[in-house]
Amino acid sequence: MDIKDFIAPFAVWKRAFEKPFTVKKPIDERPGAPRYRGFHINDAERCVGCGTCEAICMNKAIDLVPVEGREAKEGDSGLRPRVDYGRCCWCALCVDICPSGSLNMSNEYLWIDSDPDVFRYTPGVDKKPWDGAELGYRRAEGYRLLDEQRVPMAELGHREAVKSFLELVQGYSRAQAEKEADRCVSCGLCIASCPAHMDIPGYIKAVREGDLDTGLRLLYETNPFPEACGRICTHLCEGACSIGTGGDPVAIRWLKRYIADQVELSAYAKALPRAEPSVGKKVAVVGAGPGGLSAAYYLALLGYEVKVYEKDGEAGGMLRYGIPEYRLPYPALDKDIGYIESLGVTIKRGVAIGKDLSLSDLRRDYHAVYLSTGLPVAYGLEVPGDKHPRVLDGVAVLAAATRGEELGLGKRVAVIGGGNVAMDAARTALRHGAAVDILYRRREEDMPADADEIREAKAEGARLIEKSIPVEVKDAAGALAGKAALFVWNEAEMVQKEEGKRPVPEAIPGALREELYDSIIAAIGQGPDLSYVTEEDGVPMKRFKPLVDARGMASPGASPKGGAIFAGGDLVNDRKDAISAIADGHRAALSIDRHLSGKGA
Amino acid sequence: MKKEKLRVIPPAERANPDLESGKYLLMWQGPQHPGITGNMSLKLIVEGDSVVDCETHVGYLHRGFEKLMERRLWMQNFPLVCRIAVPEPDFNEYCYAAALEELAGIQIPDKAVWLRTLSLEMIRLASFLMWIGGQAGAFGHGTIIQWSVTMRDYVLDLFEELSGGRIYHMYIIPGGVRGDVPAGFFKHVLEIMDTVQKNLDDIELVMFHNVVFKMRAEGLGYIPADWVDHYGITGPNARAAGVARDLRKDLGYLAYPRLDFKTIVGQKSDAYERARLRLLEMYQCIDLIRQIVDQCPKDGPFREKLPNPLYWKIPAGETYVAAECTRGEYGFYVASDGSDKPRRVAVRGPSYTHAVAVMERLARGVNIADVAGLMVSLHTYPPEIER
Amino acid sequence: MDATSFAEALDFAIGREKAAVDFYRELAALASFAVQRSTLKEFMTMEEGHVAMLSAMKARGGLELSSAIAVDLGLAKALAADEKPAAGMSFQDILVAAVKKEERSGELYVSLAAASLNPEAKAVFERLVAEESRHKRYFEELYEAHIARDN
Repeated sequence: MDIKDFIAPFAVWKRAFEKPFTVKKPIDERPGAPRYRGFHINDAERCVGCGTCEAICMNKAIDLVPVEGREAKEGDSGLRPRVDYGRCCWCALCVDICPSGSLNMSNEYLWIDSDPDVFRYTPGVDKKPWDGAELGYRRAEGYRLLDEQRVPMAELGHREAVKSFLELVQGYSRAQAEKEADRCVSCGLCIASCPAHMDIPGYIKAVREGDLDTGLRLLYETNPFPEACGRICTHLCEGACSIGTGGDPVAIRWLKRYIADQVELSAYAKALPRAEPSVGKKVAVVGAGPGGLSAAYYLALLGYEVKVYEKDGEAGGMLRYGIPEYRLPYPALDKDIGYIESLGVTIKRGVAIGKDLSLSDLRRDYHAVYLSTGLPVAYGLEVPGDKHPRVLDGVAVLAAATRGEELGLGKRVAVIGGGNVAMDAARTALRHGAAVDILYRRREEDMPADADEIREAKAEGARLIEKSIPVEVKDAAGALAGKAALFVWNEAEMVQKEEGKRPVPEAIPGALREELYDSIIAAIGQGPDLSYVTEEDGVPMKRFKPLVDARGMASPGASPKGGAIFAGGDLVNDRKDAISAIADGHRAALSIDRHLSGKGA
Repeated sequence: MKKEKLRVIPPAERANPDLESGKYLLMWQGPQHPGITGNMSLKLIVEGDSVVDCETHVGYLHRGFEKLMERRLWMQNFPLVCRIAVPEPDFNEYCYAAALEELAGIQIPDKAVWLRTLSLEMIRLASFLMWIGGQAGAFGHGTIIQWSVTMRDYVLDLFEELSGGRIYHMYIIPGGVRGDVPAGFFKHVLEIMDTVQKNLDDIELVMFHNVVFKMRAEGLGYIPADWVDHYGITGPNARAAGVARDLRKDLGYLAYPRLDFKTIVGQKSDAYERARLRLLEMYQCIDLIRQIVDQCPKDGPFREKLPNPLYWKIPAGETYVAAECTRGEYGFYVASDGSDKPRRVAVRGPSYTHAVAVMERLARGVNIADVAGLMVSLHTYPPEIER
Repeated sequence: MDATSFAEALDFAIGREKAAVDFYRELAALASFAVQRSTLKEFMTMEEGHVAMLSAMKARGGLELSSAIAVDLGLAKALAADEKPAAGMSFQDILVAAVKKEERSGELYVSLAAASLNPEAKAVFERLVAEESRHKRYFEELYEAHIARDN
């Protein structure tokens, strides 16, 4: 011990004259740091209620709850996360993982209340003083727990693509598929948006885990056309995908294709359910498109004897005759159809109902009939001169291409219309070496075709002429008469004529244009062929559409004797795509089963 | 008072006194007692004012972390592990993340290496600052804790700025760290280091040149060097006994091989020597933090992209990752069976050794008034005993 | 024709609507299958409704028609009408015929209104112009929704 040890402790006194370190709350405020993990804030408009925050929360502090004034809709569960601060540990993994980025934290940390129940609230819905706080925890730039980028899909280059009808999209490898499947958060928003309500998170999980038999079984639970839908589905699911709110949506369609591509047809039977024993009843299906064959598949599984009548030489309907092979190669479609036939479904090809057999014949011979005849009639241009021999219809051109016929479209081709048929016709013409103009009455953003199709058609060299109202088709002069035609159109401008309705194209006076084409392909719309339905069949119809009830039933039959009639697909629904037809077919099969077995009828 | 007389080696055997004789008193210190570092208790048998026998009781703080982790996804355990040692969460975060990275074969970016090192040194300093207040307080010197906890709060301010949390930083995430340093952060770090250093000088003066502290701490809880391997003593408790054992040097993890520092060792591990060594390590922390600020890369990624945390599976395997925390070797044993959750996690905290076996032996013969000071001088945290 | 009074003008309009009923009846006679007949019947019933409505107005002696002219979607002008529907007529053929018929009626009333010296009759025709524009609009919307979906 020395003298310093007795004196040094008195040095503490010097602190008495220094400024204290403490803050004089409440005179001085001490806000949380800019990154402070304080009370949650949520942009309820951007949030889609996917529940990924709930899934990652290890404390189960987050519950997705219904919110007043918010309904479930496409791509939005209508639920919002409610945080329980009795459980929350402020780790902010919910913020890090939030697909849309709507969930964040404020830098507010003081909240005093005598009522313990208030500390459980729905951020962004229950108003709080820190709503919209500028400061607080945000995930750092470049830091996300999820991958916002889709695994790129190998595709033929556009220059290469137009040289042949080879399939454009090459498909995922196993590693690519598993990586893409890993992006899914299993929120299930896609299930609600899919017309067939496929178990999308389920089969994506199967891809992730490499269990393709399970994947295939899940696909076939709701859709017996995975090869076709894995390529050409309108993929509403991807529009609803929660990952798409903050990046590329999961490539659901390509993953479906991956599963179907990876399993050989000969191995399908091992993975898929067997048909029930025969129930001794017969069902006829009119039309071997995706809807009709789906109905046939599910009916066969339920033990019905099913015969499908198809007027064309091959089964597949619009999948075969409407969609070019560079989008859906025939072997892929044949695989889907082949499996359905392997269950004992008979397809009578080249038999037209209304010509070779009548609907009343079917009603007499079968316990039930399912009508799934689609929209085979192409509507015309309805302008003067539209009966010119060089005015062709898009559906017929695509069907001729499928049958391998010589199209003879010539060098200069106009395609009139903005739907998928128009895009397919244009790209088919491009592959036959033609220069193609696509003329559409409205603007590009109004076109009903898939955005991908429009983009690819343009990339492959088609010229898009928007806002062009067809006026007339004139025969070419001189030696070309009858071999080429002048297409006359009027340039238009979009006019907002009525509030709340889409703008209308209005011809600009005097702005007439004309161009000489070897072929003019009209693809403005299609209608049904219902000439085979007679009054005696008892099918109520309105505006060229059979009216069906919630079960898909059009006529209960038995007047005086005959099977019930069900209908579905493009013929009936408004979506007019393959997946909706498949959903209708599935529904009809279940309804027919209930109707014929007397269960819950 | 003769220091040499006090530096006795307590007997290895338990006393086993006859409690019915009326000579002894059985008393409990803790679990609610200011002289206990956290929720554990000491069952003391005293004769007069000296302790004849001591039995430690733990279990008041058992939260079942290791078992909980077997039921949570790999990433969900990340907010959980920091809670195993409250004053030093970052060592848990680091060991857990590094174990996962090793099992999954993930290389983290260099920037993350530096920021992790910074985070670990900052929490080392904060933890020592809290401890030194406790050590002074245990000997009745209440002023120091007011100073040192203020300094700790300044370090926690830095954590708040860096990670958004003061106590549980949850900054070291598997794959790297959770964000780059905010603008102006390094400047704040250097300013606070200056402030803390100035305060350490004051503490050195009034605490280590204090006759009361010297008289009570010198010779108290003497740990001979040959106990180090016998009991598995690590950290300052071992270094004070002259055993140069520091995982930062011995394992050379993170950025430590690129930092200039020497392992500090003492000669005779008693309460005073250990306190002095920890004070020197605080100065060393400040020096290391300044070096890190100087050398940390300014650009580059701070986290390696990992698979979707909802399904992340780690290949089957096991590993043990250790780091030098303020109190010694802190380690995580992690075993994976290839699924999306750990098969087994075992946490090795230095307090298990120091607060149970070593404490029980050192307490024998100690004056009852010095039990609290002795316990604090071992620097133990009960939460890490009970995982 | 020169309508000189309210009643005569209405009589004329009722005559036109009756002719419309006959138009759809004739088409229905040409029809070859059920859905054509049911569609034409729907339109015919609508025209019969117009006859009944105008007759009732005549009996009450007051015109209860809105003067709001419906927006012209411009389809009628673009559609070719150079052919008559035949047995195999599609929904498009039927709607084109209907749109064209309404357009012709509207044009007729425009010229009648211009030619009318009697203000009472003129007012009736002007209201009928508006009424026919709404009928045309109805069919044009059907055409947009069901036929020209892709253009």
